[in-house]
Amino acid sequence: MMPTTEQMLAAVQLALREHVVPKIDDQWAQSALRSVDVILNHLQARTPVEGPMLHEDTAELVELLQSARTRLGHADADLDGFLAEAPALLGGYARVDALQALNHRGRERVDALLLLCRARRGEAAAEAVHADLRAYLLRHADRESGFFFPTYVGRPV
Amino acid sequence: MIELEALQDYFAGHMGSDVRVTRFRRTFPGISRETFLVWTEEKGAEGGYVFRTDALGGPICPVPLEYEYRIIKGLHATAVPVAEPLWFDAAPAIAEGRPVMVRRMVDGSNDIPGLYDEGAEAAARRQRVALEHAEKLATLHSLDLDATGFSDFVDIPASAAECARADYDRWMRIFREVRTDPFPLVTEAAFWLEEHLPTSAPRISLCKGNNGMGEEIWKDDRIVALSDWELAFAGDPAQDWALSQGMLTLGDAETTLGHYEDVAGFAIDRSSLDFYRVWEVWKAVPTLNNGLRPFLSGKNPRAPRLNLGFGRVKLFEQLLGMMIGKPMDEAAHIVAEWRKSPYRPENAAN
Repeated sequence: MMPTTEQMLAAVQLALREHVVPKIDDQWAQSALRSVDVILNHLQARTPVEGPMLHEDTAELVELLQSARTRLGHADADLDGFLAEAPALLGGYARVDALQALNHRGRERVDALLLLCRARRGEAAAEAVHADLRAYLLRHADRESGFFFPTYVGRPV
Repeated sequence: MIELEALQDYFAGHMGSDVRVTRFRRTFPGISRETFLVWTEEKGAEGGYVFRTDALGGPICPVPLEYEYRIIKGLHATAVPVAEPLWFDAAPAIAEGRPVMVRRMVDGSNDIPGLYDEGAEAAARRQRVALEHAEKLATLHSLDLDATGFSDFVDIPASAAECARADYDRWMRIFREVRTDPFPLVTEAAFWLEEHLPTSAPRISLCKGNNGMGEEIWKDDRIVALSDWELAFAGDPAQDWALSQGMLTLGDAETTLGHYEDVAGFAIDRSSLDFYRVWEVWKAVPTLNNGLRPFLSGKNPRAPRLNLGFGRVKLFEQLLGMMIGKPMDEAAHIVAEWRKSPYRPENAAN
């Protein structure tokens, strides 16, 4: 059985903590080791779940954006492109970097729709779409919360 | 990498051939910009200088070094204590084309040893330190921006009532220019904050931006130089108190603010202070995220850029997600609780 990526990252971290950190006095070197330790924590949290998280999140984006386009009667070539290409990627085995790029595009469209809803404040359709967008944003933050919290709490450098 | 020989040539080029650089060291942490303390021998006496340049790929904070130099230069003629600015170079060879500014070194430290000791004496000392800082902020905030020339190059809000709006518009523009991710939650948080912009301010003041512990030079518990001016702006003085890095928790916050108000001659609106505490969390996103751009382009592939420009930014995004839609005083309370996390700015220099 192969060790998991998490186990391997943890082994690197343990080696640094046990054998390198106690021997370092220079404040720049100490800072570099703190930075590396934080990155290793982040990767251990992110690596095993990032793919499924992005898949779930992007699938929700497709539904959300499809519905928003219909309700707002909004014509946007980038949104159309995202909605046309996303199902094929989500339907097969996708690399994590491809999912990251797709998710990024989808969230760009969310940002654009937030601006649109802002410009159309007071319209019932825009208010309803805005509420859905905000709910999605909080779910997205919740999905990736473990990548950053509490990993990045602490001395930043 | 800055070398002694290159520094020697550089200082001699500016100050004459009878200047000899004897030693230098880079200050810690200096992730946004690189700062070097340089000691010289000049006609038998020792001189000290501070050489500051952008980090490779550019600073974290999206503000040019020349702006900071001009702020310091303008302040040096006032009662606000700053290090003497000596020269600015737009693109010298020693820094491979990065801008450089040189100031005279001030005798002091950004650390105050023993400040966090236990006991009543240490607590009284902390309050005195907070009052000293309050007096210096009051001096800064009372400057006449026209008479001192700052209105020639600092963006000035149209009126005191427009201070928050002007800062919001400026940073929204920067956010959209520098962001490395769509950050729709940050956009949504901005719209929420826009609904709560303060509509009054006691005056338009030159504000320091980052201030407080770790940002100033102290000697014998007195501030001998307010340092690090890259985030200086014209706005509501309440905003500086929202960025005062532990100063309001050093002693009793109301005692400190009351002393400031006595010296300054105007009051800080506590609800504005609540707003700015939350707004500064939002502003940290574009400020720090700008530092990730040289990392992504490969110009500065160093771990601190990654941790500040990405990890820390995403953490602030999480924090905004916790606050969005809440009443501003409740959101400010969340920020205050957050500030009690294991990282305290005042520990950064240790």
